[in-house]
Amino acid sequence: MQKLRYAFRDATRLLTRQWGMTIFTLLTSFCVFAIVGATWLFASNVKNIFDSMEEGVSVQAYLKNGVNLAVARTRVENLPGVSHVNLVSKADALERLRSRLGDQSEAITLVGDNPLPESIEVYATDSELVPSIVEKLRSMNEVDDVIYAGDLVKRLARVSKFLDTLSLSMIVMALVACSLILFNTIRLTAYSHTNEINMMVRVGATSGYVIAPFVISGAILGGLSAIIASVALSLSYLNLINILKAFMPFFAFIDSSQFVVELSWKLILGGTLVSFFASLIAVCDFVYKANKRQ
Amino acid sequence: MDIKFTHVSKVFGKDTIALEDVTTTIKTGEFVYLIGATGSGKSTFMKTISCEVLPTSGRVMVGNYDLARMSSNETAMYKRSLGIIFQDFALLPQLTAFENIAFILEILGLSPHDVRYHAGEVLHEVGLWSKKDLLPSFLSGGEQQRLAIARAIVTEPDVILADEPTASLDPRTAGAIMDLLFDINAAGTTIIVSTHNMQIVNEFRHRVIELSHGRIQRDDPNGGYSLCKN
Repeated sequence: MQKLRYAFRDATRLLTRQWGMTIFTLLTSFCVFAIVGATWLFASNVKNIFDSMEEGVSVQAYLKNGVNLAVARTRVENLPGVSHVNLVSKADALERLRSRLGDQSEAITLVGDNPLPESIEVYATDSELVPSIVEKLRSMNEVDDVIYAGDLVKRLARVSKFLDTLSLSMIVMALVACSLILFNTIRLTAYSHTNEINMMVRVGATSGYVIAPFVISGAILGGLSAIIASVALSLSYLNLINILKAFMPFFAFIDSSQFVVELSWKLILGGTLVSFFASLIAVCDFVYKANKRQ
Repeated sequence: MDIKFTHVSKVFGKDTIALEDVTTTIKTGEFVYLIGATGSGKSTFMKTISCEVLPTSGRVMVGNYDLARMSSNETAMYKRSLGIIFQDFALLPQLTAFENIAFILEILGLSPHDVRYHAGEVLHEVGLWSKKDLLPSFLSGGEQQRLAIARAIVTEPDVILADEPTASLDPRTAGAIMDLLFDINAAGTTIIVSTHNMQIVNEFRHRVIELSHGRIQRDDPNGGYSLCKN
C-alpha cells in the first residue's frame, strides 16, 4: 500500500517537476485523440448518410384489381428481408400524382375515374436483399407489377459495404498512429529520466517500483488529454452539425448528443488504456537495459 | 557478510580480459583499498560485487548470496544490502538533498514517518541537515559527496563500495570524507574503496589489494600505495 502511495506521489512529481515535457505530451496526445475522434465522427456520419439513403430505397409492388388488401399486405410483410411496408390506396396514389404535377394537377380531371392501382411500398432491412424480395413479389398472385431502381440499389449496397470497410480502416489507422505517437512521446519522457531509472535499479528497486510512476503518469496524461479532446470535439461537432444541416437538410447527419457522449466515453477510456500500455512498453525497455548485467 | 571471489574471470567481447582468475576473501568489517592502474580491473571487480557485471567463470559469494544464481527479486534484495558511493556522486538533480536519501528508504517500503526519521538522522550524521531542502547543484563537491555517503549508509548496509570517493575533492575535504568512512567502518560495515589517491592510502593504512591486467598482484594487509611494476 505504501509503495502504491509512493508510486502516485512520484507520478505527480514526474508531471509537475518537468512541466515542459508534461505540456508537450499533453498537447501531442490531445492532437492525436482529436484526430481519432474527428475520424470516428466523420466515418460515422458518412455511414449514417448512406444507411439512410439505403432505407429510402423502396420497392413499389402494384396490386391487381379486386385483391384483398389486408391479406396482400400481411403476405408482403412476412417476406424475408422486409423491414416495413406502406399501403398506398387509389386515393393516396391520386393525391401523390396531384402534388407531383403541381400547377398542372387540373389535367387529372380529364382522366375521369381514378385509374391508378393500389400498391404496397416495400422497404428492405438491407439493400442487398432487394433483388430477392423483388423476385418473390413478382411470383405473388396478388401482385401485378414491381418497380424498383435495380442498379441504384446494387450500387448503394456496394458503396455501403465499401464504407463499412473504409470507416473501420480509418479508425484503426488513426488508433495505430495515435499509439505510435504516444509511445514515442512517452519514450522521450522516459529517456529524460534514464539516470533516475539507472540509479533506482542500482540501489535495489524492483522493476515494478521503477515502472509504476511512469505508467501512472502516462495514463493520467492520456486520460486528461482525451477528456480535453472529447470536450473540444463535442462542442465543435454539435455547432458544425447545426451549420451543415442548415446548408444540406437532405443529408441525415448524426445530431444526437447521446452519440457524442458515447464517443467521448470511448475516447477517454481508450485514450487512458492506450497511454497506459504505451508507457509500459516505453519504460520497460529502459528498465530492462538498466537491469541487464554485462 | 564475507565477500568471496573464487577463480573469478571476466572477459568482455571476444578477448578483452578484465579479470583473470581472481581469488580472494574480504571478511566482514574489513576496510580494503583497491588500487591499480587504469584498466587494471578495479571497476569490474567492484561492478561484480554490485551485480552490474556477471563473471564469465568462477564464483562470487557475498554472505549467502551466490551472485551468478540469483533471481531478479533476489538481486534487488541483495542490492539493497549494499551501499554504493559513485565517483560522480550520481545524485538525482531534480530531488532535494532530503529526497535523494528518502527515495532509497521508500524503495524498502518504509512509512513516511520512518523515512523522515531515518533520513533526518543520517543527514545530521553527515552534517547536512541544514541543507536538506537544497538541490544537489547548490551543494559544494564535498557536500555532494557527503550526501552520496549519507545515501549509501541510510539503509545500514553490510557492505559499502566506494568508487573513487575523493577523486574530485581537495585534500582537506578528501580527508574529511575518509574520516567519515573510517567511522562507518569502525561500526562494523565492510568498506571497499577503489582509489588512485596515493596520499590517502599511504596515510591511512589498511589492507591493499592491487590489481594489474585483471590479476591480483598484491594483497597486503597493511600496505601502502606503490604499484607493482609488471
